[in-house]
Amino acid sequence: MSLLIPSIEIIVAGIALVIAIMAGLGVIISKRSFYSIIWLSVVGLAVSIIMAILGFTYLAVFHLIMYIGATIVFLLFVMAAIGEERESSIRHSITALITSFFIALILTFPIFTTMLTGIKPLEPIPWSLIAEKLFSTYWLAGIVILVALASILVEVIAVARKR
Amino acid sequence: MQLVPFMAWLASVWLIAIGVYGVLTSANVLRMLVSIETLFNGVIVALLLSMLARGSGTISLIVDTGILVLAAVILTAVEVAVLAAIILLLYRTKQTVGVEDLKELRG
Repeated sequence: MSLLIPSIEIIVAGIALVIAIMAGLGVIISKRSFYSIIWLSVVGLAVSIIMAILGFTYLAVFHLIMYIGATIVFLLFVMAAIGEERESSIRHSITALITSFFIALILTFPIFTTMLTGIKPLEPIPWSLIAEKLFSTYWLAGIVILVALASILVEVIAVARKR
Repeated sequence: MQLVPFMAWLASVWLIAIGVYGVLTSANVLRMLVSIETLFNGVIVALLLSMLARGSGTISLIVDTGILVLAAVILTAVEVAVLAAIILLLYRTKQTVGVEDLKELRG
């Protein structure tokens, strides 16, 4: 009997999959851009759950903070600044739908074939190792990220001052 | 095949497909940006899955990919900020964010 009961990971992964599917649909079906952005934040939430289930808890938390906390707020700010469009901004087409699924399957097919051989469960990753690698091996990437974040700050000030 | 990675793969395929569909059918730059972000979410899941599939047991590769994803998420926020500024500028100049109206911006 106990063999028929799925584990908690499978249940949570299933819930995340359903949320991702529904939120993805919401992104393209919503007539108003505001709701589309809200659905995008739900997609981000589902992806965070999937990351956590796969074993990348630190990435899941970071994704929640950085993606939903910053990116979605940026998009909502733009939405508030420019206002809502009058007519629907999506032109649905069955050809585009088939093409997009075809592209997605082609892009992810190599991953599927590799998955058939089996994936070992992820060992707990020590955070100190990540921090050590980030500052010793990938210091240049860290500098690029810092410069990029500084450029956002300058850009945001420039936009606010209407330059 | 394990069920959890398969579900993650399904989510990845769905999000990439939805993202590409949104980019192909959007008539509005903001909607296009939202679709690109959906596509990005799918690609991030695909990246983690591919790393898990190829580098199982290699802690170094797992950490490396984690750092790559970390950088990708930060750079996406930067990308959105830059595009947000462009969209605002576009709206100030043209009073519209329609894709068709962008053609008139050519020199």
